[in-house]
Amino acid sequence: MTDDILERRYRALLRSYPAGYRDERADELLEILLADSGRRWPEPRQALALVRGGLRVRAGSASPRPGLVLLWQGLQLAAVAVLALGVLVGIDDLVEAFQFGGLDAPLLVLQDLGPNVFFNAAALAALFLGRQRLAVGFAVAAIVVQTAISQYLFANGMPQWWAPVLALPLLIIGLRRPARVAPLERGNTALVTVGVLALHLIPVGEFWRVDPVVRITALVVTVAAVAVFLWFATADQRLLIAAAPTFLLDPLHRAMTGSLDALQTWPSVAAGVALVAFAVLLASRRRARA
Amino acid sequence: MRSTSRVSLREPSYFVLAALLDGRLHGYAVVKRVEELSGGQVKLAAGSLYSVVDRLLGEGYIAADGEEIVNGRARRYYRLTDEGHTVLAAEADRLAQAARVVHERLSPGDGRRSNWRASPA
Repeated sequence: MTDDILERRYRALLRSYPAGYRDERADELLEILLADSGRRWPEPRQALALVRGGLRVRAGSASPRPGLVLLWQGLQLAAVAVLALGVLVGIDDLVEAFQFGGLDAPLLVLQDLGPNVFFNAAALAALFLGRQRLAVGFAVAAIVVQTAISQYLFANGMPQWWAPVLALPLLIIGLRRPARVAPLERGNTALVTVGVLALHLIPVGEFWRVDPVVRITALVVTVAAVAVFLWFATADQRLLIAAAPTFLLDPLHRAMTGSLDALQTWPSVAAGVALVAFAVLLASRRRARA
Repeated sequence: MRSTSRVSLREPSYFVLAALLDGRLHGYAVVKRVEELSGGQVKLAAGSLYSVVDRLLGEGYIAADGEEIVNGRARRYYRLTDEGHTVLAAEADRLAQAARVVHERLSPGDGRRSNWRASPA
C-alpha cells in the first residue's frame, strides 16, 4: 500500500519528462526509485534529480540532434515569450487607458491599442496550436495594421509594438523544422512562457525606493526568483534563449523615443546578452564532456 | 559520436562506464555498482543516472543489450561498447598520469603523502 502511494507520487514527478521518454524509461526509473523504499514520500534528492532530468530531456539531451533541438525549440519559445509579453503589456496599457479617462473616447483607445493586442494574441494562439504559417501571417498583420492604424503605438515605439517585430524573424526561422527535432509541446510551452513572464514581474524598480525594508525585500525576492529561474535554466537551456529577446522590448522602446537612460536601459540589454551567452556556454560545456 | 582522442569524462560517466567493465548491467545494478566502486562518493539518483546513460548512449560508449520483464516492469540492460572501453581506458590513463605528477613530488617522509598505493582499487 505504501509502495503504491509512493509509486503514484513518483509517477507524478515523472511527468517532468516528455510522454515518449516516459513510455520508454518509466519502468527502469521506477525500479530504482522504489528499490529501497518503505517510505510514503519521494526522497527530495530523487525528486530534484527527476525534475532536472526531465528538463534536460526536454532540452534535447536524449535527442539524436541535441544542439538543433536546443536552438530550434529555444527560438520558437522565444517567439512565444516575446508575443506573450507583448500581449501582457498591451492588455495592461488597455486597462490603464480605460481607467484614466479612456471611457470618454473608447473607440480611440481601441484604435490605438486594440489591433496590437488582437493580432499579437492571434499569433500567439496560432503558435500554441502549432499553426506556424498562420502565426507568421498574424505577426505580419500585427506589424502592418498597428503601424497603419495605431499611431500612438508606432510613434512612441511602445514595447508591445516591438513584440511582433522581434517575433517575426523567429517565426520565419521556425517555418522549417529540422528533421528529428520534435515540435513544441503545448503544456511545456505554457510553463516556459509563464516562467519567462515571471522574470518580468521581479520588482527591480523597488531598488530605488528610499525605505530600506522595501529595498531589502526587493533584493531578497530578486535573488530568490533569479536563483529559481537559473536552477531550471541550467537544466533546460531553452529557457535562457526564450527569455533573452523579451529583455529587448523596453530598450528598443527607449531607443526609438530617444530616452536612452543608461541606468534603466543597459541592465535589460546586459541581461538579454548574458542569457544567450550563458546558454551557449552551458551547451558547449555539455558537448565538451561526456 | 565524436573522436575518442580528446574526450574527457565527468565523474558519474567515468564510474558508470567502469561499472560496466565486468559485463552488462541494468539501471539499478549500475547505481549500486557505481556506489561500491567509488567508495560511496558517487550516489546516482535515478534522474541523474539516466541523464548519464542517455549521454553515453548518444556518444556510442554504451549500448542497450537486452530487456526482460521483472515484477511487471521492463528492465533494460546496458553494456560497454568497444569505443566506450577505449575512452574509459584513456581517461583512466589520464587520471593516473595526473596523480603520478603529484605523488612523484611528495617525498617519502612527507606527512602529507597520501596512502594511495596502499589503498585497494
